[in-house]
Amino acid sequence: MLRVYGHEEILKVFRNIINQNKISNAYLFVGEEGLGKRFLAEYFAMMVNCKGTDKPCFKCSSCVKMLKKSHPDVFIIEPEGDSIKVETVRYINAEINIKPYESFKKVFIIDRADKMTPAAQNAFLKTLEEPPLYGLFILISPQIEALLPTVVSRCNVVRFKRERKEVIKEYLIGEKGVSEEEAEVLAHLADGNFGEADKLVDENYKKLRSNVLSEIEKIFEKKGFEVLNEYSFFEENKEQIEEVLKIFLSYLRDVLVFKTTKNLKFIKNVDYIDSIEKLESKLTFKRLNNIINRIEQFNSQLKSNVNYQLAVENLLLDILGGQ
Amino acid sequence: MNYREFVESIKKGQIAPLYLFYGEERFLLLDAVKRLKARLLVPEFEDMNYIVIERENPEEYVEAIIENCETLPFFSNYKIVVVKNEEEQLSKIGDKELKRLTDYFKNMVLGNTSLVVVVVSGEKIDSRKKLYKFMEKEAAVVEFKKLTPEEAVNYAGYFLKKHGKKAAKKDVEYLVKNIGTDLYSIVNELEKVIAYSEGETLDLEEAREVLSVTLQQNVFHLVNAIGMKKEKEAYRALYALLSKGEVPLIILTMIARQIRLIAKLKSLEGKAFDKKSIASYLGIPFFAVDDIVRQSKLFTREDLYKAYKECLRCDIALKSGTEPSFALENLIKKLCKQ
Amino acid sequence: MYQSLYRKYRPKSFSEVVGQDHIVRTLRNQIKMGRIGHAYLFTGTRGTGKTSVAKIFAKAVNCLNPKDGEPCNSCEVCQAINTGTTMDVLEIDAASNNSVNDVRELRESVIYSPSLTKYKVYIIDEVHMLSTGAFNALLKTLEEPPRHVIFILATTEPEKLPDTILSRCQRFDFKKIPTKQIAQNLERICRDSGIQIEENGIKAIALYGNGSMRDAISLLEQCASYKEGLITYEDVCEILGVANEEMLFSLLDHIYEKDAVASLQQLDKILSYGIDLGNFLRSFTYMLRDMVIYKTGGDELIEILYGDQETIKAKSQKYSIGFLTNALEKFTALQREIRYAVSPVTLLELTILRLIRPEISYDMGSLIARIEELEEKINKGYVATKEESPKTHEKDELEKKVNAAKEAKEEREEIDLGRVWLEVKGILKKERMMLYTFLEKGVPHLKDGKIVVEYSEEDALLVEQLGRPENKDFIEAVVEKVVKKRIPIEFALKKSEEDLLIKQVKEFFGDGIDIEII
Repeated sequence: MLRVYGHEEILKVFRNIINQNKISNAYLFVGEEGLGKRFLAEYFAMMVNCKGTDKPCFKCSSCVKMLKKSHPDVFIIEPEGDSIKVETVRYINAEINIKPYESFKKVFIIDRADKMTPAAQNAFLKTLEEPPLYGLFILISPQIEALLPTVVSRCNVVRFKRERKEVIKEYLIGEKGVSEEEAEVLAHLADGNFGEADKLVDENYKKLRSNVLSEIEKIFEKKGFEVLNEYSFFEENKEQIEEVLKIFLSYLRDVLVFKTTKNLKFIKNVDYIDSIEKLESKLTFKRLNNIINRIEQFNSQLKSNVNYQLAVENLLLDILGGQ
Repeated sequence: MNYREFVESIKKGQIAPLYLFYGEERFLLLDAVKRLKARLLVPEFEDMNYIVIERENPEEYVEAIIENCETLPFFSNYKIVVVKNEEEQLSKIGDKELKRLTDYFKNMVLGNTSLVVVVVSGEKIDSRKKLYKFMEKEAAVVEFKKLTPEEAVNYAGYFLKKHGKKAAKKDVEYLVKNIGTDLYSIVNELEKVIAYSEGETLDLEEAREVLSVTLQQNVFHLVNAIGMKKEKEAYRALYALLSKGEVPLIILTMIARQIRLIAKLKSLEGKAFDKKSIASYLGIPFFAVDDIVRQSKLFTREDLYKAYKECLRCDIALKSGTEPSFALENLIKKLCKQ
Repeated sequence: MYQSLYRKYRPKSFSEVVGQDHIVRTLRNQIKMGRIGHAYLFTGTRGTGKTSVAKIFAKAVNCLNPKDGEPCNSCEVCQAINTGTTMDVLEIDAASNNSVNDVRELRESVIYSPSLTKYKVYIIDEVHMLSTGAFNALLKTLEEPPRHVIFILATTEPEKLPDTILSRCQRFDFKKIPTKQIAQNLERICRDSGIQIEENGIKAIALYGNGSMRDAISLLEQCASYKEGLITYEDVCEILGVANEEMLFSLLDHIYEKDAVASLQQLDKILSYGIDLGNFLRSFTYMLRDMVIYKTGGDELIEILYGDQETIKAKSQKYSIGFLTNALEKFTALQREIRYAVSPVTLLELTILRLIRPEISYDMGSLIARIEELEEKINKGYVATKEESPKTHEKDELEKKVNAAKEAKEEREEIDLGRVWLEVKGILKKERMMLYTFLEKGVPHLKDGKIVVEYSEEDALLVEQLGRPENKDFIEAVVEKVVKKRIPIEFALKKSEEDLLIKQVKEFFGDGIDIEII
């Protein structure tokens, strides 16, 4: 059994399409990472080939094979390394000409279609436009712009949006066994994104977040050059520095927004409200503005191969800004 | 010989057995071949008596030429053999083969009254080469030079008239100025104009609607507007360029190029330079000098220094992902500042 | 077989072609006059009709009963071409057939006479993809094409073609199709196929098509398959993934009104629609840019607006140009920063908040916005009060900053004006009592090496008197005696508090204020 959380509108569209038998030959699922595109692509494939009346029934031979991830007429294509190359597309072009073994549709799910090289996309065009009637392509991409317009224009676009907080909360409780209170907090942080929610329940991540947030408080209590000692924290977490920065920024953003709106409902890190309120009175708008920009600047510095320790130390000093 | 002299000569019946055609004006060159055909060949048997020799492998040329020259004309007084040498294929054959060819020409072709061989070369010939030394001595050489603006205007006027369109001389001059002196281009553009305009007289406004104004011309409008600090007109000109799908970086390159030319002209200020030397110094065609001079009067040295800086800024902006129309509009705003 | 809308509604005759009137008229006349060329080049962005027109032309030159330059679409030849069943009209994709060998094969097939038609037509698409060798080979045929052959080359990138090829062809430049015409065509298609979409929805689709009819029709198809029944403007925005105009203007209003809470809520709403951040920024900046352009050039520039002209015209009345330009600058910068940022949404929120509170920004754009704000207040008759309202507070801060700068400047002037003035007045009291009484009412300042003595409006007469040469000279002489150097003196009326503030800011930061949008 498979429960789907949220996605109500999209599921409605799927059901309409299947009931009226107006299944196009190509769909493009687009939206941020973590919203459930891959999951629904497989779900849709299951619906399309389901032999029962209430699609998907989870009981017929087709559904069972899908659940076991061994359906002979459903192909999942993913990037090899960094890209999907022409050879893979040639394979698809050849394979699609063979009729499905037992199903209504032969389905190709191309995950991270945006990673197709331009040559691969070009090779794909003819097939996309006029595949055999039993052919169905589901392309998945985080953004439309990454694909050639000629490819996009041959697909029906399905957009994925952030889910409501309640949905994420239910998902956390139902799928991840999280307690109600914790789910309430995490749902706030997850911002409507399942992938983000998954990340938040991970024990390692939880620990990281809690470490980062205490570290932030620590930094702001330092004076002058003694803040340099905090480099050790950044050294320990060098591998996950981008996550660290995300958490940092999320917190600072909360402080900023609270400062400007004086309204608690905008805060995401709801489990750290007290700390946020405290910091808010300490920092001016201008200083917050500068720190946030400075952190993003730090991020670009890292990308251009600057000496890590120097970059961190500079950042720390700038955060305190001579206080 | 030039084209005119060639046409005169064959009218008078002075046909040479061996011709060398070369030059930049390919339309006229082709026309010369057509006239030769018309003069010498009977329409019904034209195909049989007109042979074009072109081989992938240069080595095969000599054999092919000789073979085809040997056969007699078919129900005709004359036979024409055209040897395609645009890519200097004949210069790639060995010395021995070349000698064989030139000997054949000398012995068999020159005395032959029913055969005309035309060797067609590219835009330029190297007179030091053995082949051309020979041709200059023994063949009738016709060079098809690029037309002067006056000649182009005359031809354009004649073409329009022939197809039933009256046109004022200054209008024809405007057309040639915008199209250039290459006859292929002129004829192609005029065909469009003739088909599009439905009146008896040429209407320049109408003609402009179908002329393929090159990127150069469009950018000229833009840069001219900038030069006159006509901000609104410049925005419109830019929009016209972008809506035609012109590439923003290329537009910037052309704007920068114009600024560069104006700046270089400025460096000549105070020195005595005639138009021809200016054209040569700047590397632009003669008729473009007036425009640059006019524009340079509108930019002070200060303006030009700033303009350079802004062009660079725009380049950086375009390459770092700024929306192209914004970056270019901003550049215009800066350049048009009073 | 389900045929896509685009295929179904592809123009089959010249009169059905949208947006390329010049080209259509020229080609029809050529056919009527019998002046058909042998080499054509169609250029232009995608979806503007190049291939469609090429096929219509191929039909028209070969049609057995052409009428007025149009193909009949019913004779044997037209039908064969329509169904693609004749070898005499060939569409070749240069991208996949771009080698010299491919062109050689083409040249060989060109020699043979057509089997069905009068003219053999070769339509070579994306011709710029040919290799150099292939171009050279093609050139040979273009120079002297056989009488029964017509080449139609098509490309979206004409600048990649060698000049020699360009000069051999009659070139037709296909323009981006105007949004209005696209919308009209979409409406026609909707009526014909029973698709129901709100008028504003159709306009939005036409706009998004960006000059390409094919893209617009394809989008229409997507919208149509979204649901049964009437598809609203909101639906269209959702499908296209664009924020609808109302939402964007609403956000802009909240920012303009400095309502942080409402702004952030509105932003959240926009993002929750699943609108990609990049798309949102693009729409938003285009909107700002349009209003800036309209405010700069009015109706003269209305043709170059990207958005709906009526809307821009109406909405741009509301905001000041300083505000719009500042916002445009900040959002354009944001577009670049967001590319590789760790937390794009945070940066966006920050940008919005900075726009709401420009007093913490010292870049030129924000200052201009501030000045404009103050000017507006003056025009509305704002009276400075002594309350500690946030507005006064920020004004005070700004004033403090400016005065501090001024003081710094004054310090550099090396004369102690206070002490000097006392001395001067002392001397005048003894020698010219009248001048002394006059001077008492004025307040001296040092400015640009001059002494400016300011008076309030009611003392305008004194200013006039003091300005007279005999009086001014005398006072200047006294000053010179005290300070041992000549300093010019001016007498002026003091402007209102606000004016002074603006003047000070403008003076401090220089008059020729530059706005940088880079």
